[in-house]
Amino acid sequence: MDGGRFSYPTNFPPPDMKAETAPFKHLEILLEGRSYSQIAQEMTAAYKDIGVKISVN
Amino acid sequence: MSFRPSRIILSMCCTIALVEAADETVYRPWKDAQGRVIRAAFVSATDESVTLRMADGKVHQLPLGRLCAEDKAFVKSLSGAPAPATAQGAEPAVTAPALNRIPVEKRTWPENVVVPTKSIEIQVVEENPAARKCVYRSEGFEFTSQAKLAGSVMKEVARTFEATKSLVSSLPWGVVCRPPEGFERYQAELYETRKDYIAAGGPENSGGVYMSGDKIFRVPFPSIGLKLLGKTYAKDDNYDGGTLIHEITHQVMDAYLTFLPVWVIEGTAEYTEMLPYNAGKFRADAHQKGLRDHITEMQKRGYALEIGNLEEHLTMNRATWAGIANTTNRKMGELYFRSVLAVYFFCHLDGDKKARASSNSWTPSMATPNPCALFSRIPASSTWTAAASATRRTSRLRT
Repeated sequence: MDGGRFSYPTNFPPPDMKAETAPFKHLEILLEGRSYSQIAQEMTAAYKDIGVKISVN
Repeated sequence: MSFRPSRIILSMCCTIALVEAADETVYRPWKDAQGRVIRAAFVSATDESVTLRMADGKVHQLPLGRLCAEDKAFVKSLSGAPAPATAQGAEPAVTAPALNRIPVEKRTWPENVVVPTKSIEIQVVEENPAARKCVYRSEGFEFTSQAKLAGSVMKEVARTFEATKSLVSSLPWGVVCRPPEGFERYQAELYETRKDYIAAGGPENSGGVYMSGDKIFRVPFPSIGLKLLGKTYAKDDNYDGGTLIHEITHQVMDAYLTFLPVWVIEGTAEYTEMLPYNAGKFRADAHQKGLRDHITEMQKRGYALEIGNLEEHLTMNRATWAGIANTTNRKMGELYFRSVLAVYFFCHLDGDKKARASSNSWTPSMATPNPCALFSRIPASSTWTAAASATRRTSRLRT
């Protein structure tokens, strides 16, 4: 199109933008297959290593 | 200072533009306006500054204005991006600057982030005190004030706004700060009194509020350290602008808010707020000091150093969050505290674990790239109007 612009087709499917699900769609990137309890343990240990005693489960 | 990209880098981006460009620019000569030459590698650039890595691994941020014309053009060429795309019948589109992000593994954690002088040059657009409308502009913000403010005072107000924008742009979160669709600058409205502020929609228990519905950050004079001396307003240099930094962080991340869990939204704003800041300079490398000071302060205020059930916190939806946060200021404070502890963990303590062994964590030798970044596939801008149009307000309680 003019000016280097282009248009999506009108039937172009938008991404999943439901308010309830969109923010968590890629949370797994953080988790990397770990369980929450495993991350909680790692978090506790990591904070301990910098001298911070944190409670998380 | 080098940075070991950990999982949360919040890159919120996919692939894109500067990736290949950065590869081609490793250790080239850079000349400043006076003709002095250094050898360095391009790391990143914003509208105002360029970040370069020196041969010794140290990373420095320089105002673009200090570079010679040729190198300015070179930076611009690296930042070039396709024209914005427009969806038929459903606006808005992915925006060009949103694509100008550096891949996760190439990002570095900055040492100090200093607001460029050019950014806080104030332009007077309109001054009509009788109508209680005075409009001023800095590089990235437009301020509509109910009272006339001296240029020097307005510059001090703008300094915090511009510095926060520079910080968020510089952190390796991959956030590209650009005003919302339809605005040339971020909008801020400054109210003379709290009464005026509340009349304009400011929550009674807040010191300032960013309303993502109309994209305006509203704040009363007292919350930005403005006090009346005689007949003119002056800036209190000792004023703690923490709340302001928190809310500005929300404002400059507006395009991302729809895509983020609330704990990330509030945790990142708490994170920027806790970084040591003074007179336009954030000490981004002193994040651990900032964390410790924040923990100390929160414990003094009676908050427990705990996150509780991690899964419950990380997966908390907005309705649940709001239900808890609206109960009491204490409950809201707990949510914020837990969020910044989680954000700090994913930013600095998670990943290859080498950072745990030393307080001097971010040395080049420890920079083990971890391309796994939180929200790395999340669109960079509010691409689809439907979800983004919902008005959402974020406000920091004055607890």
